[in-house]
Amino acid sequence: MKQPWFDITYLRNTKARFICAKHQALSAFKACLPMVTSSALKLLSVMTKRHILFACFFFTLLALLASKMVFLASHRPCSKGLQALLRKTVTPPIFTDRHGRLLAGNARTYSVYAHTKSIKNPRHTVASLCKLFPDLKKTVIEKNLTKNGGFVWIKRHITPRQRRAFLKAGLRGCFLQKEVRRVYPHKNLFCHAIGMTDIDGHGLSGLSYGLDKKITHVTTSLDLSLQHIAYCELKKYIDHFNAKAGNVLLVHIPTGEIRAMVSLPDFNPYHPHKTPAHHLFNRNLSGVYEFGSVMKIHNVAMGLEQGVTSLNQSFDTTHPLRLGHFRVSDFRGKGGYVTLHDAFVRSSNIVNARVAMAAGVNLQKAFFKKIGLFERIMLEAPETASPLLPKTWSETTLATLSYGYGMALTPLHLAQSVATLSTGFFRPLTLYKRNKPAPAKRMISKRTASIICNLLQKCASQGNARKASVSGYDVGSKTGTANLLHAGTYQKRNNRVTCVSIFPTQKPQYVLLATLDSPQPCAETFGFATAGWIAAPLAGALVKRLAPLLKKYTSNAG
Amino acid sequence: MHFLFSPRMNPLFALSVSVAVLCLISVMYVKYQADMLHRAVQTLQRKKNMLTENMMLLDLEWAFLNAPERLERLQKELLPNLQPVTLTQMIRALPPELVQKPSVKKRK
Repeated sequence: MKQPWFDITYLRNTKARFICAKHQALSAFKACLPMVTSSALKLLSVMTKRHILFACFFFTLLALLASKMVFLASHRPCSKGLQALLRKTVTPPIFTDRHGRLLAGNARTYSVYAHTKSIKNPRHTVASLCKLFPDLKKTVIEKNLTKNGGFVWIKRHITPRQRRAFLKAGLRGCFLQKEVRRVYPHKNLFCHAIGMTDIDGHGLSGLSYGLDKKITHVTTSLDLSLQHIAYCELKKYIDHFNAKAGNVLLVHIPTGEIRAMVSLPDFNPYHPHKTPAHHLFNRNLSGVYEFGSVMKIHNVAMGLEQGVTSLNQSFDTTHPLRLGHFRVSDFRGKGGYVTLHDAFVRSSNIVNARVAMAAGVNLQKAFFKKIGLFERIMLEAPETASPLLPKTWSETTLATLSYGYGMALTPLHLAQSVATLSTGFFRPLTLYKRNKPAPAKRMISKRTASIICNLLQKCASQGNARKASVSGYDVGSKTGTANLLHAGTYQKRNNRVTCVSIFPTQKPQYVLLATLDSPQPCAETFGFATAGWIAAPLAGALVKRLAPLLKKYTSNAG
Repeated sequence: MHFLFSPRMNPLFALSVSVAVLCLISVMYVKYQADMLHRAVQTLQRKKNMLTENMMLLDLEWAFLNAPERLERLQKELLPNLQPVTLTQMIRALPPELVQKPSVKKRK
């Protein structure tokens, strides 16, 4: 039976047994010792000088080997610091666009480190290093080389010329370490989509963030040519209208792939620390905004889908709609009775508010939830934001939501929901290449979807989005102008202008979203800073340049 | 060691010793060959890595050279008459029944 360890008797017995065994071993050794010594003496008496010489030689050899083994086991040429740092560095994956064109890759570089304990003449080493790398500060190198730690980085990612000079100098205690450096051949073009990495290759934002170390190659859904066109056009419009910021999003509806995603202002991925913090912000994924009249698409779709209204129903727009102390009026409204069809084309706030009020809070909530406006969109890039929903859903909220105020969404939400409303199917978006159509789930009826497409087409041909239509391309558009919220009040002269387009309207294949923040009016726009004058021409210019490069565009040209 | 060379040595013992020696030699030989192959594999692996890195550098250079921004700049400098594709160029590729003939105004 096993004794418990705390039993004092058991412990005593164990100790006694141990002492007994020790004595037995000692006595046996003592008994053997004379026998061993006598046999050794006998052996020595038999051995000749030659034998002794051989024995000495082999003993020396064995001793040398043993000492070498001890040295190898104890000595580490690479110090703990370097080992730890090398474990931290990773090789980030290569990113290509959907046609296999390189967007971000890795180049082989070398870094210089020093093993301070091996440096015999620190002063000479510091002087030589300063000569080799003029951008390094002498005091910093001196401070680093006098550390007791052993390992210290001197300079990361040196140029090939510097490497040759370093090897030629042959400094004692300074070594080269092979590394990889992130290279962005297109500089700022994909800075938000792909993101940036730190000096050790760890992804910090965008698609680079949180990737498995085993992944070596990522094929994105983005298209280099489309991205470049979107970037150039957006930059041109931002400069022309002196806007603060802007973003463009192009989504291929059947696959849910994001083909172009531009957010300006942007940053240089080689020097992200030198740019202001708001430049690092990806407006397409992280920004939540009120989009204004663009949300009327959702409101009308809700009314038609829930059977609350019909296209031919007339509404009185003579007087503004009063809701408590709020007043809902139309921008340049003509008044009188208008049908829902005309109200959508004219972008009437009053009619949309009436439709929303007829539907009620529960129907509106249920519809918005159904098309995915209440949830964060999970994308491969982690910085997607959740929408900002109203805290209380009152009658006023109901009315303001109908024309795009009171709920802040990301551009991603808007593009996805417009794609859903124009086709009737919900498809998840992606930034990775999909070779087959995305899994689709029917959300609204085919009839409602086709009505929405026709309404958007009418809006582009007769409504405020006339400048978004391009001759020969079957484009449907809706514009939205929203006052910017600053310190709790809406600024009347500071707008966010948005234009969302689908093309071709007969069978929508692409959704294009273009937004500009705080554009300034000019003589060309007759003093207006509205979406019809600024965002719609941008969308038109984009469609004009992008559509010829896209696989499927309208065939009713001519 | 003298018993090894004595005439009374067991032949089975001699055979087993010689087989053991042969085995030792063959093991040494195979080990040497394996070491050589291992070195060859390491050399090839190093070469492969070097080539992969060089290929990546070439890919990066190709990407730099074909960057749309650079091509656009070069086009503006060298081919100023080259314009983006327009719809009028596309219509020619369509079937004739879809192409609308331009209306010609008759001058009086």
